[in-house]
Amino acid sequence: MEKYKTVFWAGVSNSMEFRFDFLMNLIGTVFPILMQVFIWSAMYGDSGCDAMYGYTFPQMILYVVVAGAVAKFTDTGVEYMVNEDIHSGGIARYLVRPVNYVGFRLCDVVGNKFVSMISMVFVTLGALLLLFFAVDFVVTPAAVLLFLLSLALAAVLNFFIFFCLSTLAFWLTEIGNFFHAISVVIMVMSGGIFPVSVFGSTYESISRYIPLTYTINYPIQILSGTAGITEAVEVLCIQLIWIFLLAVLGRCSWHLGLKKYVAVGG
Amino acid sequence: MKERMHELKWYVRVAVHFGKLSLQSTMEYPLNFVSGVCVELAYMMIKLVYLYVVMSSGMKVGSLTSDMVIMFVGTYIFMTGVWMFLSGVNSIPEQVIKGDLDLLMTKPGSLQFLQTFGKYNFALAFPNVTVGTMLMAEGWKRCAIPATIGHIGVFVLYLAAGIVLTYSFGLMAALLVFWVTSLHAVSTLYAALWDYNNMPMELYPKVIRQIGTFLIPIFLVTNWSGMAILGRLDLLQLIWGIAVSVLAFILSRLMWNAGIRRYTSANG
Repeated sequence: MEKYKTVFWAGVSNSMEFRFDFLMNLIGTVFPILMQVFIWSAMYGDSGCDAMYGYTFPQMILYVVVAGAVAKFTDTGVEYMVNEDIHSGGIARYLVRPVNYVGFRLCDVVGNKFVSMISMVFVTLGALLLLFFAVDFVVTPAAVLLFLLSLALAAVLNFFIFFCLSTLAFWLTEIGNFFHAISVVIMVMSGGIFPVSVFGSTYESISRYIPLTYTINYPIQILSGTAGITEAVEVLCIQLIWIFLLAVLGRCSWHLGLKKYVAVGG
Repeated sequence: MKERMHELKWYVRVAVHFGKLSLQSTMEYPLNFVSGVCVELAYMMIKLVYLYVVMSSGMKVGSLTSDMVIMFVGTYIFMTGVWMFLSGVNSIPEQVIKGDLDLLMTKPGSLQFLQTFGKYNFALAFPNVTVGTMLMAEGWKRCAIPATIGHIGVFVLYLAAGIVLTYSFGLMAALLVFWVTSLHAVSTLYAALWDYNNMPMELYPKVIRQIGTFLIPIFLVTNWSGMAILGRLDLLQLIWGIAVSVLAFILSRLMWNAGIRRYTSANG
């Protein structure tokens, strides 16, 4: 266990190595969120409706503010690391060490995301305070607690989604651009830009049966109050089931890939 | 004057040759071209999602109808294509850090020209320019703007001014590499600012509109062509649109010269 703890803290110090970049990344997250706030303000103002796409105005603002931060938080980038390790032959050094590669990468990613998670908590609290003072929008402590729990599970779930995808690097040589494209598509489908209800009832129904929406859309629904306590617990259970299924899938494809893997070098 | 024209023709010819070379090297690996197109299509999906929301709700952006918004989003996507196309500009930080400018310095012709027009990325530009042009045409049609020479001329003029601004702003952002060690943060911030053009400037509060027009005139890149033909600009604003392009180009040229003076070759 000690070795995985070391990897975690190494990840934390890595993430804080370039503090200016970290700060700019944070500002880079805020800019698109602001744009969305202006869009929805105009839209609700123009329509005169209390609720659109199943969200009231404060709920929608909370959604777009938190979705931008959650999307950044759950984006682990593990696919690029695994791809690099496979194509550079770097995994050979993990194969000969007494370490589980998946566990190693998971601790590394969680360590790297640790500081982001703390800033994420502040972003969420800031948004909640702002909405409370601006429009008297109140969120229950239980919703915040369940949201943070589902957020942690969302990060792990996202890790396994991309880990499964990354094992394709065993079979495909030029896959960097594919990862780039698929991560953007996944972000949109997960509700990282707009709530999935915006894309129509058909996709909303389908989205219940795919793991993607459990990384962004449903955790934020818990926070915004569009999902009740019972639904929140249901979301947590489904997240755990998907994590288990994808972990098994990832392990199978990893072992299948290793059979094909050939390390050449001195 | 005759000599100047001759020189200009030479630069145009060289730029065309560079274009052919870039296309040939891209098509050497067609799969790379296809995967580049796929990446851009994925990013375009985000841009179009915003348009989808506006269209499906039928909302007005300030005084602009959703049909008018199509033209603005089209211009933004088109300009993104132009930005992606100029990979010579975008690769400056890498070239400077690696010390690759040494070789270019020994070649005849302007160093700025050779660096910024030496390479083009067709894969990233193609989907953006195509979809952007289609959206601009669709928006134009839906707004029932007469396709007179005057209207087209004004639109193309401000589109060209936008292209000059895209080049100048992109160049200035890349040239910061001569003064700072890591450009990652600057690139992130510039990309975030650029994305504010995803929606017409009328969406934003007055203070942001003023900042985006006068202080950091990023809104001029994609808004002025549409606003000009819709008759939303007064004479001063029309002049400002052209003046900023000229000023930005001169400023980028001065910055290039200042940056090159700081360049120290570290190549072995």
